Amino acid sequence: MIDMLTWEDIIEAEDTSRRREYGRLCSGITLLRQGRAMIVMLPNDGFRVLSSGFTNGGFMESPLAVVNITGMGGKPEYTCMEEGLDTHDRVNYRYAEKLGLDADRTVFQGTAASMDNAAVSEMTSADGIKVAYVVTAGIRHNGGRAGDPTTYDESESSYDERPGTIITILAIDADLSDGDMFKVMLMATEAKSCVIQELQAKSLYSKGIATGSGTDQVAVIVNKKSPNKITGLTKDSELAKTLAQCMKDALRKAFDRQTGMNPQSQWDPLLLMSRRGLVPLEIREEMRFPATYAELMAALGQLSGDRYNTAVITALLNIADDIDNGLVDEKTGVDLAREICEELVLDEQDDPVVRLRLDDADNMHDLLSFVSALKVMDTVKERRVPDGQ
Amino acid sequence: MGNDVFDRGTDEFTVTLGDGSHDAMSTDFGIIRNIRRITIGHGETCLSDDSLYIHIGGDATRICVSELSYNSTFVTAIAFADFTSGLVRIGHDPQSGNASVVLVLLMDSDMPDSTLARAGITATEAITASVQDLGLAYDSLTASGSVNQTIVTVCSKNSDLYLRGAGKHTKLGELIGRSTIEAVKASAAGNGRSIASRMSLIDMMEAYGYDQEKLFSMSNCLDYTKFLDRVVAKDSEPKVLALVSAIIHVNNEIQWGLLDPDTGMEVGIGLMRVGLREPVRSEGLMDTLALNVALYFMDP
Repeated sequence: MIDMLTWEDIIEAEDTSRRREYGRLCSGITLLRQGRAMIVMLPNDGFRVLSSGFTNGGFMESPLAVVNITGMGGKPEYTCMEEGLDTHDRVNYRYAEKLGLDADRTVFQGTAASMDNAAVSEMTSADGIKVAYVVTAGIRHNGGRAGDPTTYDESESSYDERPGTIITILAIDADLSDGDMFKVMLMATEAKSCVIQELQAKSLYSKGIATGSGTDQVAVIVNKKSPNKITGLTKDSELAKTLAQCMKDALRKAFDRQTGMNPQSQWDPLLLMSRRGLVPLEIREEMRFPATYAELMAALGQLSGDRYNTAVITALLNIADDIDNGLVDEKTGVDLAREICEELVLDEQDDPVVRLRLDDADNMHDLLSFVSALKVMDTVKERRVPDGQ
Repeated sequence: MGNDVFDRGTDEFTVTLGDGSHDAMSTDFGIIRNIRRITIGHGETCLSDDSLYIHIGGDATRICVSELSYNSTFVTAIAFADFTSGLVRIGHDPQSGNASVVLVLLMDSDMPDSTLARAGITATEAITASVQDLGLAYDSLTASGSVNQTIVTVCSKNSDLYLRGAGKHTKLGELIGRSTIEAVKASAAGNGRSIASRMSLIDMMEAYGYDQEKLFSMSNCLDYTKFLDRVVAKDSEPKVLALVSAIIHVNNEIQWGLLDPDTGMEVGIGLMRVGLREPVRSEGLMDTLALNVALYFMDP
């Protein structure tokens, strides 16, 4: 029997001899790349960190470093996860030793994202306090909305790894209380949800827009030796506004680098509709298209670039959301959506069967699915030679 | 949850935590070991011995509780949420006013400090989700929360259950999210903000800078009393509410850089033509929408 590669084998074999500077944050903090890690190296023992990460999370006084580590990938990573969080801690410790770090004084965070795609952003508040972020981010495969249904019960099983996460390490060149550090962690979280909303990135576990991913981690680093002493931080302060703006800047860059997610890529009707289960396979089943595969693909490609049509679709999705949220009853919403589809989306439909089916659709999903199929066919016909052949 | 005792008075709401030791993480004080009591009321926020006091300016009888469980995982969210002022889209200047959100999250399991922090992250996302669901906006910005937001996460150190995961993909995270949303929305409704309060064209437009007086000035009507009569009759027309909400969403997408203003304007014009009236164009989508809402009120 051949022994399977383990995480120990991988770490043993990895070449982590090269450490290079990646950038600088405020407060003399250095960013270093080494192996699979981004090391946020603190210059002295005057720092305090609050982390929501699993290994050495919580508050740590005088840490040496905060590290974000890309997973190994494949079966070796899976063996770590299967064995639970205690193994996860041991893996982190072993890797820290390999990197030449004192693991007991290191705060760990982990992701599937590449450290080469990390985004760094630095700003100074109007009252002169520097803040800096290093962020890795991906949400396409693990976006979720708070309150979404879940299946993973930790009381029953040991660990559940999901690809796609947002790792935020932020530094403030100021001395903050522990309460304010927790506030900063939550402000960064709120800023994260704003960026996700602005990209209309979907939840994979409900019909809504995501507010984050399940595995997001935040580490807040403050400089206890700084002459900038902050007490009673509030969201309307200059520092809070800058913290949020800097987070948004870093996160937008990180999303774009890791997964190509940006306002342009998100403006895709099929992508936007998919959160409501409106996907090509299902739309294709709405009718027996009198068209070739090539024609259908060309029509879909044309529709993907149709900015007007995409905007109308988002208006229709908003009506569906408003029905779910109780702003409007389903019949009124569907009737309005049907009128919008007939006036703004579809060509004139003179087929009595189409009329029957349009009038019969009594919920947003059925209506939008059928309308999408009709729109694809309208586009196929438009692309054909004038006689429709 | 467990042996916790809730004492609900007209001025204060007190949780006396049950048997055993409890730790908490608070946005005012950081880690609090061996906490025994949490009170929400009109006194000053303070921590003394094993008791935490959290100030609210509003009506303590509008504090709401949601208790949820799954197998052996129990979560209780205690929330005071007043969204009638003090909204914020974080990173921007907030709306004026001192209204606030206070959330106390009781988790009947043991956990490390990192998980207490993670629970606060999930709860914060749940508050943002609540605000989004309610369609709250101010100064043409969709809100992400309240300018005053206090969160306390509490665990039970004597529990047999030890949990390290509080992210949204875990059962604990789901319970945190759902209980927070339920308690926050219930309290917000008691304080005058619910989906029902959004069923008003005037309310929708006011958040984008077009209050009743401004709409009157755009309406071509010279009789304010007559205008108000028309508003009363047509302000909550369901189909128009859904349409205006959709156009506002298109406007938000322009703000967020997803859609260019010219295309957004043409889509808005098309939508207005379908469900409001033959539109009169103005400068920009929101100004055009406001003008046509004002004219709609006076249409026969």
